[in-house]
Amino acid sequence: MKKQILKSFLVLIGGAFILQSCQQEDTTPPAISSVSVNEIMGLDFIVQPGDSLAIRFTITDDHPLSQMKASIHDAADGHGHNGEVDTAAVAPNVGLWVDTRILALSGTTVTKTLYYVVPDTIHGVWHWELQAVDESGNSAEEVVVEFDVQ
Amino acid sequence: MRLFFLVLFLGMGYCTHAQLHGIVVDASTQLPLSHAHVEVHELNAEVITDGKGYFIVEEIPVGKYHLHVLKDNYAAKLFDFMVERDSITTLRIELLPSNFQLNEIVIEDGASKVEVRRSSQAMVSLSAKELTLANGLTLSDKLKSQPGISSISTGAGMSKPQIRSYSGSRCFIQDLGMKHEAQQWGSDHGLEIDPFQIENIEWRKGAGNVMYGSDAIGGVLSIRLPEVPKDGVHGNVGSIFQSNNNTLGNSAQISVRKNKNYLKLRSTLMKYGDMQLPADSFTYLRRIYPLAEGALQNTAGRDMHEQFVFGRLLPKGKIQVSQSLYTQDAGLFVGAIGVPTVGSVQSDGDSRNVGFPNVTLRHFKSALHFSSNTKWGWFETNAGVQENRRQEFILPRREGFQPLPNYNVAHDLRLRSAQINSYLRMTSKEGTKTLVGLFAELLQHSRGGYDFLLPNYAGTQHAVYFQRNGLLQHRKKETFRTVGLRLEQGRMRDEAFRSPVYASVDSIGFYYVRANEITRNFAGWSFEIGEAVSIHEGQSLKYSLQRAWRMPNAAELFINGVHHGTFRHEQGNAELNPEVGYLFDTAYELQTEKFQLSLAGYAHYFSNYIFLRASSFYSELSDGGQVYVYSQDRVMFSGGEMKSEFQLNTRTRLEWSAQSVFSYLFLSGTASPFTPPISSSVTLQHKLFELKNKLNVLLEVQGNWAAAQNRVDRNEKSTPGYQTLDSKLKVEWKLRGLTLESNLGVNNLFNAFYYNHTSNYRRLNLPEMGRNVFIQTLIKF
Repeated sequence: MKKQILKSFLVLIGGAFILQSCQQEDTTPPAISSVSVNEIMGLDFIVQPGDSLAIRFTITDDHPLSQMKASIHDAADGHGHNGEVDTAAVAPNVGLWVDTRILALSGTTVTKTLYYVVPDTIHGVWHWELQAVDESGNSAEEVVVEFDVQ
Repeated sequence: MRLFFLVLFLGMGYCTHAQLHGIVVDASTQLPLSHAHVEVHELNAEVITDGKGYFIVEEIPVGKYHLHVLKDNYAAKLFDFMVERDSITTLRIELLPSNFQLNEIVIEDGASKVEVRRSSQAMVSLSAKELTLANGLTLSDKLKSQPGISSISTGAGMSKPQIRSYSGSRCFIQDLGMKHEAQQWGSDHGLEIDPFQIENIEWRKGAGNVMYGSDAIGGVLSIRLPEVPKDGVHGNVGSIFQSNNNTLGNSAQISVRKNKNYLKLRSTLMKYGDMQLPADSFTYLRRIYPLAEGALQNTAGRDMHEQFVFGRLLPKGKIQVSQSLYTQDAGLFVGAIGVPTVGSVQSDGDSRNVGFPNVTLRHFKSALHFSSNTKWGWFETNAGVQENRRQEFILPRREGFQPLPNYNVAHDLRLRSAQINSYLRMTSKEGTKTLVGLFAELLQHSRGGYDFLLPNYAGTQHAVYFQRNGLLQHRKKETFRTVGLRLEQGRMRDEAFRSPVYASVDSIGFYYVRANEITRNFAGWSFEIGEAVSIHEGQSLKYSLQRAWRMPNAAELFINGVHHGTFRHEQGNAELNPEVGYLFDTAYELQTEKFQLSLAGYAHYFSNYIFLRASSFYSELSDGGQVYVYSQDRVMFSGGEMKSEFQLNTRTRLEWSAQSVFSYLFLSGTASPFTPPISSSVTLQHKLFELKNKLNVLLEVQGNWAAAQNRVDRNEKSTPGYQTLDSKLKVEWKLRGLTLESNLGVNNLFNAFYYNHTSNYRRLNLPEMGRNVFIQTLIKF
């Protein structure tokens, strides 16, 4: 009977070792670096309506890249208190600034510059969000740049 | 079906009465034992042995029954017996001395009444007292003390149980005799069950597909039906206070029984404030977010639960009607649904309010239980209806050119279900237990809200099942074999849905097809074979092999939208096939007078496991990130649990438990998401003071350790290891008919900063709760 117990647990322990020794597919995520707006590095910018923006960034990975998505959206994040938007924390934005670009990527290093013009009619806080994914589905930690349009 | 019930009810006419006589003795000394509790389980008839160890149960109908025999300082015993017409049945029951409190609980499978000794799977049982006085606010948190169970949490008030590495639709939760049918497909969705309501819960280690159906592929948590109260008026009041998030919870139950009729009422109200973290800031997406006074804003909430049970004991069984309503209003930390702004994590000056975003849950159950002793055996039926409504309130944000909705309900998901489960449990003269059953369920889901995830859908499921548990006569060691088979058939059908995508503020560019009208039919089978071997007295080995079958759930087939709770665009796959797994489970148990050891191990292989696979493309929806598509591939899970208890002397007890889970997705070579790390805990309990069995004061210190979890799924963060220390003072006081049990303690005594790998807040780099002083009480009268 002791042999029976031993066999049962050896099967399980053996299974665990087999799993540990199996080879992994690529799981290294791409990295987004060197994000600059009009050649100034940073994540928070104060801009004016009508300003031209050149957002430059680099995406790298050890395996081929697949896609990137850059989108601009209202920074209001769906939060509020007691049914009211917390105006002290996040003032409601005025106007509309919408831009979504999904671009195919190739190779392991991509440096790009995307050009935008801040609409004349807006006021408030907007997020520019950059995401990137490689061919295996590994996604980079996204970068969010905040534009305070004054 | 009509013929089945006709035959069954005719069988119920068979009835004459006899008597049961018996004696309970100490197995080692053969001396009679007085004040032992003897309960005929099926009849809810309890008697207590006299000074010479004798007991008599008068007027017991002809049939097959089993007894639960309990006595302090002895291991509980279950005993099958048969009563024949106009006869006196005489029993001699021997109890083994034991120092372990857990043995006061009789462990058996809820439906088949196969006790743990005969079952080919290990079972763990927790009583109301253990649950009420366990750490945590939710049922899932309270179950975490058991190695092999963890929880996937979203803050303090929302969590769902995780059995080994299975959760959601792979964990079968049985409540009021029914499958708890809720929106369990979301990892961020909590379980709508009040932990105070539970009188006893059983965990069957390993799949339970044959008995419980498709969703039991990862494990079964079975909440026993409310017990029949003793004559008279009784009640209990449970309370909890937690300093960390200012939790105040109270639950009261009153039960009244007069002769054959009984009534039980329960009401629970629990309120909690914002969680306190052991940090004053956290870093997420390269930004530092301040935490005002360490509080995680908008994580307060309120849970309410009302339960009503009415029952009547019948000459040969019982009928019980139960209704329950569970509601929860809970805030969600703003980062849980999107990228927070620094402003949104600032304090609003009120730590107990629920702002936006928040979730409202409402779960209603109405259940009927009927059992009767028929000519052929015990017939039981559990039937009922449920409605689960989940509303997520999120202030709308402009997405692309789409007009801004003028209401705040992002999702309004309503799931209605009706089910019936009937079975006949037969016991042969040789003691072989055979169970045959039928199951049917209807599902209907409707959606609302300005956002889209799941379309309207309807589903059905039917099954017929069989299980036999009997003694193998030819084996030298006492060996019980369990064999079972379940045939299952199901259908899922959804409605088409499309959403407009605006090209500009006032024109629709095109319609995005979210769901096509699809009907899928499924049919499959599950099989189990296993053995329980008594190696020596107090030593047993169990092993089972199962082929488990699970039909895809609605989310896996039809979901198509941005799931804010998981930060991704989740896409169903209507072409999925049912999941098939080959599961091997084994357990070894050793029990002596002063030492108890449980070991459990498993190796599970799935040929086509359903999981969300990270794609290499992005959502076309403006607020959608990376698309995750439901896919199928080979997966393997293995691991084990260990629990040991040492009674060092009459005052001191030591407990050591450990668990490990390994998961492996063959396609990516990664682990499955939310795989709990290897962990262990050591508890030292010392009796400080004792007064004539009326007052007990115990001190308990528990050290918890978790290893780093570096084997993670694609795009999942690894989590460093941690150690925490908990301590509590337990007081048990008995005064006439009143019992007071109370815990005063501190969790995370040294305010350790650590991450929980199975928390939805892990991805935000938010640590777990800091130091927490708690007081729990349970008063019974």
